[in-house]
This record gives sequence, C-alpha cells and structure tokens, in this order.
Amino acid sequence: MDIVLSQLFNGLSYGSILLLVAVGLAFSFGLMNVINMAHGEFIMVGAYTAYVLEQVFTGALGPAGASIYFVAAIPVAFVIAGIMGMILERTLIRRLYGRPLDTLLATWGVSLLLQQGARSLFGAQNVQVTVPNWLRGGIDVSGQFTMPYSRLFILVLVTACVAGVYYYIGKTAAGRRMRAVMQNREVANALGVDAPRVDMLTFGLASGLAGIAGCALALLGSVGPTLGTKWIVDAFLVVILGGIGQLVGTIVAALSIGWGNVILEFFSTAALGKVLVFLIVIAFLQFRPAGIVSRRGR
Amino acid sequence: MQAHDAILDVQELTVSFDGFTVLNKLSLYVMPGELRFLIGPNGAGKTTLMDVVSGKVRADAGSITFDGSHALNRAAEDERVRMGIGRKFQTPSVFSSLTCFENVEVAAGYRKGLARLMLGRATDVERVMWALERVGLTARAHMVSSDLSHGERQWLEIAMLLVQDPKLLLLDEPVAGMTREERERTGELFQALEGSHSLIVTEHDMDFVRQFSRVVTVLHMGSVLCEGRIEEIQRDERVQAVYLGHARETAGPGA
Amino acid sequence: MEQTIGTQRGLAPTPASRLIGLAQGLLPVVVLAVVLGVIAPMVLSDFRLSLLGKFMCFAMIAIGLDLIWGYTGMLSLGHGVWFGLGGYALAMHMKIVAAQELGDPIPDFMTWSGIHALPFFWKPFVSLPVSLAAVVLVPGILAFCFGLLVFRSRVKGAYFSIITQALALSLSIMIVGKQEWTGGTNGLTSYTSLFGMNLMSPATQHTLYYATVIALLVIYLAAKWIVSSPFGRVMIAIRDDEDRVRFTGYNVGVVKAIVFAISAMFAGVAGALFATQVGIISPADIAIVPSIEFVLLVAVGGRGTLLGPIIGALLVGGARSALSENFPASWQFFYGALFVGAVLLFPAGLVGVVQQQWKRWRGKSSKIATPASMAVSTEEV
Repeated sequence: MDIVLSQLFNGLSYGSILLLVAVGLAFSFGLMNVINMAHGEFIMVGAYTAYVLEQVFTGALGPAGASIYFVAAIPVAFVIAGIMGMILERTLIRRLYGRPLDTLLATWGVSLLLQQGARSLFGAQNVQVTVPNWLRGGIDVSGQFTMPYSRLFILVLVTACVAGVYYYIGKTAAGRRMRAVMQNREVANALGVDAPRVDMLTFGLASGLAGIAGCALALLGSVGPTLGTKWIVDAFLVVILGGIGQLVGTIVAALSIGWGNVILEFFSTAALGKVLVFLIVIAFLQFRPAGIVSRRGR
Repeated sequence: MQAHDAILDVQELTVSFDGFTVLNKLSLYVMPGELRFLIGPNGAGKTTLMDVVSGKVRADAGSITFDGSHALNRAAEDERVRMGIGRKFQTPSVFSSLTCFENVEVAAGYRKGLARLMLGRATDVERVMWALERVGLTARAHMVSSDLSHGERQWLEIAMLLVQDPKLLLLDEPVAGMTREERERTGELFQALEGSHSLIVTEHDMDFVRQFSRVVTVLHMGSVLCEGRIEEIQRDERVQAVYLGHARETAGPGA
Repeated sequence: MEQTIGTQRGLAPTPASRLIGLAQGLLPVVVLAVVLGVIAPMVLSDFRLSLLGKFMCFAMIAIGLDLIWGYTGMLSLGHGVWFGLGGYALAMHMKIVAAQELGDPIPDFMTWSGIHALPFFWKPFVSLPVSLAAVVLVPGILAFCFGLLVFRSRVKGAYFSIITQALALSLSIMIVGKQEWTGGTNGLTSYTSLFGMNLMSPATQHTLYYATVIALLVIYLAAKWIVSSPFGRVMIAIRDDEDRVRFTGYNVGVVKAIVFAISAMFAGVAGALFATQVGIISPADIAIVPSIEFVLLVAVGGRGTLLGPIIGALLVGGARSALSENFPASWQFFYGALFVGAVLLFPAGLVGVVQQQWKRWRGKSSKIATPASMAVSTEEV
C-alpha cells in the first residue's frame, strides 16, 4: 500500500512539473502554432537563474542567503526567461509565422546556441543548487512513503501558476486580448488590438512559465546545459495529447503521462515505461486525433 | 419524400456544431440527370449540406443514399469520390505548385493503381487535354496554377471534376469572381453536362440562377423552405419574407 | 502571361521530352559519379575518404527526407530510427561473424552481460542474405505500418513531427535499456569482416566506399524517377493541399505511408553502409539530435530538389568536421547559427537559390515556382 501511495505521489509530482513545462508550450505550440524547440532551454535558463541567485545571495548575505534566495529566484526566473522569450519572438519567430516547420529548425538552432552559451558561462559540468533548509525533509506518512517538502512545494507552485494563468486568460483584459488574437487575428487587429505586441507577450508568458519550471527542477536535481532536452519531447506529447485550446486537457494529459510513466516504469524498466507511454499516446490518438479535449468547429 | 431512383436521397439530415444546429432534419432528393440549384441566405446550410454529402462533415442524424444503394454514413471522402461524387469547393482548391495539366492529371489518376502511377505509364494525355479544353484552359496548360486568375482557378477545379466523370457534381458557388462572359460559358457547360450527369449548384448570383436553372431548392435555417422553378420561388411569400431584411442578392463583381 | 515550359515539369510526355528530361536528370549523376567516384579517391587521404563515405550515407537519408518533406510535406524528426534499424541489422550480423571467427557462439558484449546463448531475435542475423534483406525490409515494413497508423488518424504537420521525435527517443531508450541484447550505449562495434573481407584492410574500405557511391547514385535515380512520375505529382499535391487530394479520390494515408516507407528504406541502406565504414553504430547515432540534423542537411541543400540534400549533406558534413576540428570548444555556436541562418536567409536552400537564379538568368518570369520555393511557401501545419 505504501508503495502504491508512493508511486501515486511520484506520478503526481512528475506530472505537475510536466504540466508546468507544458502549459507554456500549450501557448506557443497549441495556440500560436509555433514550435519552439528552445522551450527546453528556457527551463535551463530558469534553473541556472536559481543557481546564480544563490551565489549572489550567499555572497551578499552569507549562509542566511541560502534560505531566502529561492523565494526571489522564482519571480526572477520568470522575468528573465520571459524577457528572453520575448526577444526570441521579436527577432526570430516573428519572421517565420506561417512556417511552423521552419520555426522548428530555427529554434532548434537557438537551443544549440543557448546550450553552448550555458556551457561557456557555467561549464559543461552539472552544478548543484542548495535546497533551502525550509524545504528539506518531508512528511513521513509511513515507513516507506515520505512526501518531500520540496515536491509538495512544487505542487503548490504549479497549482498557483496554473490558477494564475487561468485567471489571466479568463478574467483579465489582457487575457481577453490574447484570446481575441488567437481566435481571429484580423478582426482583433481591426478592433484596435496590437496583435504583434500580444504575440510577443504571449510568447514571453510561455517562456516565463518554463523558467519557473526550471527553478523547480533545480530543487530536485542537478542543473546542466542539457536539462531542458530531457523534458521537451514529453512536454510536446502532453500538448498533443491534451488537445488545443483547453487548459483542462493539458492538465489531464500531463497528469496521465506523469502517472503513466511512473506506473509503467514501476512494472518494467524506465526505458520500457517511456516507450509504453508513447505507444499508448499513439493508440489514443487513433481514436481521438484531436486530443483529450477538443472542440468541433466548422 | 422518398424516391428510390433518385441519385441523391437525403432524409432528415441533422448537423450541429457546438450546440448550434446547422442542418435541421433536412430532406430532399435529386433525380439522375438533374441540374439542381440550391439557394438560400448565408448560414442556411448549403455548404454544410455539400460537406456532409462529400464526407467532410459527419451528420448527427439522418441518412443519405447515393445512387439507390449506397448509404453514405461511414464512407471516407476518397471512397465517395470513387463512388462517383465530385465536389468543387467554395474557395477554389487546386494544387498551387502544379501546372494546370498536372492538376488535372492528378485528378485523372485517381482510379489507377499507385504502382502504375509510379511507373509513369498512367497519364491519359488526351483525356487531360480534353478536360482542359472543355473549360477553355488549353492555352494555360503548362502554367503553374498559382499564376491563374481566380476565375481560371475555378475552371481548373471544374476541369479536375470533369476528367473524373462523376455521376454527381457538387458545385459550391462555381461562378463567384467570374466575369459575365465566364459565367455564360460556365452556365452553358453545366447545361451540356445535364442529362448525362447530375449536378447540384449553390449560388448567390440570382441572374445566373434565373438564366440556367430548372428546379431550385431554397434552404433556410437548415431545412428546405420550398422548391420549384425560379419564377414560382420568387413569388413565394415565405421566400420573400426570408430574403427581406437580408441584403439584396446582386450579381457578383465584373458582371 | 508566359507559360512555364518545363521539360522536367509534367509536360505531355512525348518520347523526345522524356529523353531530354532523362538527360537533364542524368547530368548531375554523371558529375557526382566523376567527383565522388574518380576525383575524390585520387585526392583524399584514406581518413578523409571514409569521412566522405559517412557524409554520403547522410546524403542518402537526406534524399529520403526530401521525398517525404520537400515533396510530400511530412517532416520527420526521427529518421534516425530507420537509419538505426538498417545499421543495427547489418551490425548484428557482423558481430556474429566476428564472434564466430574467434570461435565464440555469441558476441563479446553478451558474454560480458552474462548471456550464454544467442537471443531469439538475433538468430536470423546469422545468415548474411537475411541480414541484407532486413537492412531494407525491417525499416520499410515498420515505417509503412507506423505510417498507416499515424496517417489514418490524420495526424500531420507539427503533430506528426513531434511523434516521430518521440519514436526516435523511444528506440534509443529501448536500445540503451536492453544492454545485454543490444550493446547498450556502447552500441555495436569491433566487427571484423563482411562477405569474408577483412574490414580493417584499406582494400575493403575502398570497396565499401565505391559501394556507397553506387548506392547513393542508385537511390538518387530512384528518387528522381518517383518524383518525375504521376505519383510524384500526387506527392506534391498532398503537400499543397492534403484534404483536396482526399476529395480527389486518393487514399492519402496509404500514399503517405508508401513514401514514408521508401524514405525509411533509403535510410536503412544508409545505416548499413554507415556501420561498415565508421565501424560502430550506437544509440547516439539514431537519437533525436542526429535525426534533426539530417533535416538540416535538406534545409541547407534545398528541399524539393533531390540534389540539394546531397549537396547539403556533403557541405554540412564537411563544415561540421572542419569546425569541430578547429574549434573544439565552441563549434556548436557556429552549428546553431547555421540552423538559424539556413532557415532565415536561404529557405530555399543552396540548390533552390541556384535554381531560382538560373531561371531568372534565362529570362523567364521571376514567378517561376521551382519545387524548392513552392516547398517552402506551401507549408502548413
């Protein structure tokens, strides 16, 4: 029973991180039709931001800094990754609208550049971020099953982010503008919405979310230039599986893949687990090609 | 209404999108060799009806029987073409990278096995040129289709239909964007096809309808409002009520 | 308005025009045959020659990718899978042979992993004819089935690309995971002979080089034949407007699956030749990164041209070697910049740009649509 609970929790934790990575992708890929292969690198940027911030804080404040840096790291990672995303949109993506496959190649090139940049700045070796002491340890439910505080914190963080996105899209004027541009660009333009600016902000939002995900990942393991590449394919699968335009679909897909990975991995090996998840996605798409939640339109 | 020798028998067809009902228990039938016109205000369901018949959209309820025996419920789009249903779309869809000749060639090859296509023996050049000639595009045969004018692209799409010799042609606004002369030629083409083929034409251009139609079916809000010759239709009070308040149907540009 | 009188483009195929088309098609083949088959072996060292052989294998994959991407509009980001299946098929055979030469019943890495008998799916590869057939048939059949499954559910565009990525990832993970059966991350290497020839000897390497040249030319000609046929026009039509092709009466899923399978077979052949010349095949050669790099070769060379992929493979391969040799720490910068530049600056690729300039120089309308430029402009999701 413990093992079951433990696996359920791990699946939830994995799925929640996947969700955070995928939500940003759901914007750029799902809504804007931009395949950003550099999305993983924004995750990496967020993770390295946490690392740098730790150095800065401990440098200025000594060991006490190791406790508080993380609180600052999250918004800073959001902003930095977001700004980088906006720059990318402005300089590159904008020129390639309507050519999604070209965008894919170009952003792949950007991802190579970013990885190489990280390598030059921080070295090819992985670095470690110190987990703040208020996040160490966990809740001991029973002998075999512990819920680490860091993972619980991430769950809370992801929930907050998703709720924030939901609110932003659904309830704010800016979110309405974003939806307007997504649904009908020309009309939105005619009504005075600055579509290119909305594009840039949307892309920035997507990248910022990836940055936060990177921050979270820094808590769980080491940080290296290839951090993002491990998550990008799964994240895309989540977006495909989840269907376009509905946050609910993305959430369900992320959790399904998260749980699927963990459970299937438990019964076989990590390798086989991943493959099985992939096969299940393909099988699922046979019956519902538009994804879990889809809209029927004209 | 049931007609067992109809080429197309539509019974109680219903289609909704996201809660909005586009086709509402629509029933009509078309006899073989007919040239039937379909008119109605925007949103009446004309294009959706064609979408369902050609397989682009799945109906929620109702049935369509083609050529007496083929129930069209689950057939894939390409199967329907092979059954003999040809569709011309509202915005001319031709293959922009290919020349006119190649466009028609692709259409002509649909029944040939893929192996024959690959071995390169398949093209019936005479037949392709015949189709191009029928629509007056012989001079443009080796021009890339993206260089054609709008009207010429409409014709190219019609040529692609012709070369396949379908039993039933579904033509969605075929003369939109054509000059008056082009419209005349197109109407004459339809009349020439009448009898040996069945055609369903949706149109907004009332002059065109008046000139070339025999039986006209008026659609409104997803069902058939009335049916008859254009003179009777125009006198019908229900039709007038429906069209009153909508912009007057005018002839298209270039007339 | 002028007419495009393309002797290559769908003119009513009179015997004369077919001959002209054939001659135009053969010219590049002759040039390539001379450059690769005659000049290169005279000018290059053995080391560089085998590098060239490697690039030619990539060129074969790139031609296949051009068939599915440049002509039919499907971007596969996981073609390393088919490359790998072909490569592993032959490598497995060669490992068995190498072991047999030492008197062992099973390859060395299996003994190290504690296995004592040949796993069941290795057994067919004892036979050389079976292995050779597998090089082509395994990728071909699997790709066809995969294609049918995926295209049946109308998955296309970016979705399709992502799924092929996942496929490549899955295969490489599976191979790494089952180390005792597949050699794991180390891959299959240290094989010694093929067809009874010693792989280490320069004579064998030269023979393999020439075999690669011939294979490349044959593959190029086969691809050229396909795209010049009516089937090729259907491919382009699918790229332009897949739904329209469906409404014209074709089972698009089957057509796409066939083209996909053909490109997979090309990749399989490439993989086998690669394994013999480079001496190793491993998951690193077939995972996502190399798969995406194959696409770059087509993008740089020119999509929809068939010649472009060859040029792209040779040039990019050469550039990558030169860069990594001279700037070992930072060559990835240039490489990444190449990706970005290729897409932004010359989307029609090198050969595409040359084609456009050639047509312009010959005084035809500048709106001539070459396959390359149309390939770029008719992209859709």
